[in-house]
Amino acid sequence: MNICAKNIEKEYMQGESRIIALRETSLEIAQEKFSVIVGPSGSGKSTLLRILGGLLYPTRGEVLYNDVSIYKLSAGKQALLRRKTIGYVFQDYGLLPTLTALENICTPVLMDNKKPDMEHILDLCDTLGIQERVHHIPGEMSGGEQQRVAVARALANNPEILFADEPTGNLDKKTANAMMESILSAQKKYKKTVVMVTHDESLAQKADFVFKLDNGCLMR
Amino acid sequence: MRFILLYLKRNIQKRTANNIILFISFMMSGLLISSSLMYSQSGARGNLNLSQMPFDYMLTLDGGKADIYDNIEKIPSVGVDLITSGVNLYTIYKDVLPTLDKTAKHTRILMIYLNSSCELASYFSDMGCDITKLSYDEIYISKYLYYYFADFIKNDTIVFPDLTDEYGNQLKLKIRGVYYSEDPVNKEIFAVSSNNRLVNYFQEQTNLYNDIYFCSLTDKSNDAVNIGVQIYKTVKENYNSDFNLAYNTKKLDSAVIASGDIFIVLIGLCFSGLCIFAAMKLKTDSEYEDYRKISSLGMSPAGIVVLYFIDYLIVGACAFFAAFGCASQLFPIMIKNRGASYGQYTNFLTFDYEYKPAVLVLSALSFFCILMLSALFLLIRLLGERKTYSGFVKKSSAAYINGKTFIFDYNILNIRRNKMYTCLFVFLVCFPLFICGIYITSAQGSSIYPSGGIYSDADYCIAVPAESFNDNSFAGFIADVENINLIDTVYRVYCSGGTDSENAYYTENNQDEIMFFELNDFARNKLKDYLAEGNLDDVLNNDYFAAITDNEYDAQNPKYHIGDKINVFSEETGSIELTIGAILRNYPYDDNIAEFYINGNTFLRANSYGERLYLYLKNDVSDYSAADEQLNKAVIDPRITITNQAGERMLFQNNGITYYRIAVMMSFLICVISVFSLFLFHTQKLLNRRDEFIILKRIGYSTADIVKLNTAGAAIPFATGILVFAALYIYYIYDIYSKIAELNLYQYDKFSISYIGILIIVVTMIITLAASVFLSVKGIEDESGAKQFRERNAG
Repeated sequence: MNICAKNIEKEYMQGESRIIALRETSLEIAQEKFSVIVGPSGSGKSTLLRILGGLLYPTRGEVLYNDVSIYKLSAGKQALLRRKTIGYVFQDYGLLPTLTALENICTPVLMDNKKPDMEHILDLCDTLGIQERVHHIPGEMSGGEQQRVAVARALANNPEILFADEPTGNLDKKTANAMMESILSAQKKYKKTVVMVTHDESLAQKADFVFKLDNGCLMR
Repeated sequence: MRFILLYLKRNIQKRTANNIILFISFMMSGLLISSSLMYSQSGARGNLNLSQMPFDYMLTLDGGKADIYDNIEKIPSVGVDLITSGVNLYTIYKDVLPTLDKTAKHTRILMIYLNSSCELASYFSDMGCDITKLSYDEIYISKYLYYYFADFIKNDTIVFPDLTDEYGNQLKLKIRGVYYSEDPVNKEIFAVSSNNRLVNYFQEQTNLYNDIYFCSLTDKSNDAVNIGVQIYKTVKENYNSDFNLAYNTKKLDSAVIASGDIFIVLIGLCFSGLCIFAAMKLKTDSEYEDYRKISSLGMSPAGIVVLYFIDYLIVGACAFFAAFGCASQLFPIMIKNRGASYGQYTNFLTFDYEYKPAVLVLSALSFFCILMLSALFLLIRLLGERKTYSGFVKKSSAAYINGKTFIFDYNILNIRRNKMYTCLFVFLVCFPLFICGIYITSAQGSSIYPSGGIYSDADYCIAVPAESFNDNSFAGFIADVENINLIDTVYRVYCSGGTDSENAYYTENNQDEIMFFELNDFARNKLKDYLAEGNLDDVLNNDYFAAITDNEYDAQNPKYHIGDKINVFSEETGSIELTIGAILRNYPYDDNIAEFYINGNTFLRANSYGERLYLYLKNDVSDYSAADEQLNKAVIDPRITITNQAGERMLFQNNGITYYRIAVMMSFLICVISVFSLFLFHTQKLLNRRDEFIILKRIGYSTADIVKLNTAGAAIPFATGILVFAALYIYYIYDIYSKIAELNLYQYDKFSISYIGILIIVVTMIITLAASVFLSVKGIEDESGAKQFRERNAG
């Protein structure tokens, strides 16, 4: 899947003042590679990731997936794209609190009205080291475990692209490293395109491509 | 669908509290909606009333005044149709019939013709007069007609004096059946025939002025009040005497009752809507993040809508059918008391509710419409973009905290930024109190007089009047009707001789009205049970000693005292001095005439004879309809009055609340739902501000301080609500109700207020608000709360 962002801009209104989160940003994501977006807090990293992932409409510009502008698609087709082509890992994990870890992981498959491929799911859990926790609800798990469940869920439907928004932001260094290893091993094993946002420069060193953002501007 | 089912299943399992609150709200709302609709659909059952014939409006007019047609027909949108015709037998036989009741305004004994297919025939059929069974020489008659024509009845055949049939023989008609209707005073007394020729024959043999016409007036514009008023004015302006014309404004009366019913239904729907919306908002807010996550994971908007609606529909359907089931079981019990509110119109009419599928359909439609509208409203908000931060606290607020008036200033700021919510809060405090206030402020009528003395526990009193002071014409009547003892529902009968209230004595010194009762064996024994003060020996053995129950409420402060000398005066007897020998306990009924119990042998029987028959029923007094029917059939002389003391006692003992018992039940439901809605709205509002409270804690506020802040925040609109209620209540009760009392409309002359109802609601509100405050601060001590906030705002 070829992903290309062209002249993306994003503005917010906060009260009466206008906040520019992204200024004329264009980039291309390399296929089956590990790309990282870095930058200080408030630089627009998460905004860019959400726009790339089809979660946030840009004020101007477009995002092309194989030359198709995703924001011109209908809401249903956008949802289908998110469900089948993309996997997300959110900073706050984004797990459904009433479902067990296994049920959370199976969510994208179930949304497709398919029977989950349990071999694949359990393999994912094994890779990510959460096989012992699959029957627990998120409230019974640590932050690191929840984040790994979130990664497993993102990969459950075998998407082509994985977007991760500061997946290690709430974790201690040891757990963060383990998390990164999990993502990297999953990326290599399943040959996924991974785009990750982080403000940790050391984590960025493990990436194939690095995009630096500062005050809404891309500094390649 | 797999995911939707899994999510809903887990949601029900893991978010039990949310779903229980939702279920309770839906159930209460469903109960209120169903009850409101059942209330509006409940109808009169029991004895039919001749004044409630099935026409919009009806006139009965004498032949000589038939020009009423012309005047009525001039009213736009009124259709005038002749229903049937008849003849007034009273004008023919008034000289030979026993004297009719002196208080009757219309003296009519009507012989009418009914075609078996006409609407009026089916109405009479409901009263047991099946017109199709009548042969040409048969009639149905009312029991009062049976009484007045008793001298002319032989072998169930009325022989009409001075009238002949077409062959010149004396006219004879067979009585096919006798039916009874309610109180005959001011009502026509009917004989019904299917023989048109017979009625025409009557008319031919008498003069034009004996002809009677029944006219149905149709309201074509469906404007009951306006048409009713116009008919009323036309009749009043054109006919000064109402002797020859009677009119019935059934549709106007129904409209007045229906307007009250509609009001109840609207209020029911309004508060059900509020409660449903509040519960759904609380649930939707708490599950908002789930929907965001699900959307991010790739569920289409259509899928989210399906998930969202199914979630509510499952709980809604369960709750509604449970609510309707409860209402179906409870309402028939509740509605029985509705008849009491119409007690001033009829003693026997009772209301009932029968299951109607239409009410189920209407209730379900109303309930699910409200649910869907609320869901839609919330869904629009759900699918819209959410503000990332909804609190008021800014970092600069830290400066406020050290200020002495922070709590007040902060809450005022909060109110200013939440005007709509504050108004809703004030309304939810004020309205249930007002509803409660209306119904607990009960009007007490002065038109009913149950016995207040030793016979106050009797269920019925059958009173025989004395036409004049020395009238003994009914002497012995009681003995004749003692066969009432055979009535199934009656197990004890006691007689008492005495004066009747129409011919009460007057005391010389203060012109008080008093009634005398003889001391028969039953009364002598009863006195012991009621003795409050004094010596019964004097009363029982001396003709000039009396035991009294007076009309003072408090037996400890009686109007009369032991040893008082009372001069009783009447034209017949002159002045007689009685000594008060005993004071009897009294029941606090209004306007009772003081009752004197004396040895009647030497005094009472010589002067007056107003016998009374007191009946005690076997069964529960609330189920008195069977006794009503049997007594009504047993006593046919219209001059003898039957008082349902059990019913009237119930009214008095409940301080008039029985009048409104059904309304009290409805208002209770509304109050419960209002208080619950207040709790849901306020809890939801405070829960939405938890981020704000976490910030307050971070910048130096303790949990206790936050509790104080929230308490003050609730206290301001709460106090405002109480003040608005007080203002409305004082205006409504002391202004409007007082004016009604002054005018003596509906014969209400006194209002009593029970503050306990208001107090209970106020205390309940305070408890629920305290619970809201507690829930809002519960958990903000947890690290997870602060953590969630940090996580949510980090992006």
